[in-house]
Amino acid sequence: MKNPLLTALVFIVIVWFSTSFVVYYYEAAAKDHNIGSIEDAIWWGIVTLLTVGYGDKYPVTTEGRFYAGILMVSGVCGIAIVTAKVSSFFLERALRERRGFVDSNTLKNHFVICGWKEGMLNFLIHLLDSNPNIKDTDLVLVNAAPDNEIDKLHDIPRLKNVRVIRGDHFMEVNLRRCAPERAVKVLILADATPGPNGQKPTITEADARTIMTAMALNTMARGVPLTAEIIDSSMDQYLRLAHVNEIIYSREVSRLLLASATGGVGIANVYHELLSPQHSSFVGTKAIPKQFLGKKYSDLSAHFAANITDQTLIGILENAGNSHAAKDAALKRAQQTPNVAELVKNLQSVKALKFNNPIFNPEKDRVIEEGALAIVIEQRKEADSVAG
Amino acid sequence: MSPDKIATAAKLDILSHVGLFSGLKDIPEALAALSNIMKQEEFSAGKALLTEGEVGADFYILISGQVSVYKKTTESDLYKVAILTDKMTPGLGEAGLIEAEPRSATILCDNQCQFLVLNRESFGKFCDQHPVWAIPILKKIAVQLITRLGQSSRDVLLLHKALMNEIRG
Repeated sequence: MKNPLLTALVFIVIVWFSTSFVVYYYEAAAKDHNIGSIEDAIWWGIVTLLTVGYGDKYPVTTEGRFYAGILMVSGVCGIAIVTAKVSSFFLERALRERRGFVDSNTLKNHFVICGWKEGMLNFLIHLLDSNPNIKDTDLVLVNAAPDNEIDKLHDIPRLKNVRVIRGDHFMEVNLRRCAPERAVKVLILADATPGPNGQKPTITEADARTIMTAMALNTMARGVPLTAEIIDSSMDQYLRLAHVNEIIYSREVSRLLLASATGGVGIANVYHELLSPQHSSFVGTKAIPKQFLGKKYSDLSAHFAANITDQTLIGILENAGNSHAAKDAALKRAQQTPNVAELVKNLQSVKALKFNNPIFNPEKDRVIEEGALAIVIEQRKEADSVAG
Repeated sequence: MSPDKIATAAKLDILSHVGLFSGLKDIPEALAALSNIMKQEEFSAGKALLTEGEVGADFYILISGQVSVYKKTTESDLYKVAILTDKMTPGLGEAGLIEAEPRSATILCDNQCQFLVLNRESFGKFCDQHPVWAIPILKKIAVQLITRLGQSSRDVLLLHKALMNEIRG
């Protein structure tokens, strides 16, 4: 039988009734018996089995006492099993709730974050700040961080509803549990969880974890936008092979920031302001109105200057978004010619396409192709910054 | 639909401008014989004259209006290849005169269009009656096919090279 609780209960009932009948058989024949009927025997059985032992009925024959002993021992064992099962059921449920147990069948349109790094809690709060459309209930983390870190996470009121799948994110089993195929976006962090030997991973190990995860996700959740953080920028070719849409070069970015801050005056402050969600202006991408596709960049910048007061256009992001979708769209466009020479040229240009390619301040007559986004400096509205 | 019949003289003038009949343009009797076996038809905007992949037996000459030629990609997306107007007196679907082969493109009427229509059966009879006049027409079709075949061979070679380059990396 599958259910151990049911097995224990059936066992107890069988022992109870069979012992009661056997004891009745021996006792009823005895001279000064006090178990004189089947009802007496069954009543005596349950009182003994549950270790209550009123003593109103008791066996007097040797055989009766022998079977009573068997009933007592099996009663204690059986009741112990049932008690243990019931209490562990409630304990486990409480633990799962505490740690954010996730039922992967119900996950939909969620935001998956693989891995754990230092300052994770601040990062999550910033993520919620910079993306007002993402709620803590949308976040699903997959990581093998220590339990006390997860407890800390759930102690923060704003992150109370973040769900966590426990286990190494670079293992396919754990990734499957977060239902990546139904996610809106998956982010892979450069993971800093200590390995089985208790040591922090090296840069190569952390990057290898990221690449393994990206490759697994590429087959598991084809078409879901994938963003990955990599420490050593020379490893990025592997992420491109895994169709990662956006690669975050965290070490290189901070190095460049340091280098440029040394050169120009105040430039570090400029970058910080543009990235920080606490400040009123920040860089973002916006959809380009349909009527500007196929038009020149100068037409779009005139439109922004004339009609949109809270956004300043600074460039365009070509072939933006999910590289699978962008590639499919580019392939569709490339095939629309009866001329085979042109078709070959078009297909080759699709192969050479750079996805998420930013062009700042492009030449005035650069044509805006389908799939491009506008890069803008946006003024955050008062209401938003209060809400954030 | 019963379109206004155009005058025989105008009809002959149109036929003399059709590429397929260019070998007969100095033989008015031949053009007259052709015009006798061609029906005049009218279609409204949106009508599919030919559909890519479907078999047809009619050859159309656009005499008024405008049509667009479409082709399908391997993923079945329809895209526009050309716009043809009555000024060019284009002949559409001449391959259908020879054999019942699937059409190589889709042609839709952009507005109210009038056509002169020749079908395979009547053209066959015409060839039997006037073999001398049929030769220049068939020759024209043969030339068109040779040109197209040459283009196809060059395309195959191009694809072959592109594939080789792709594999070579």
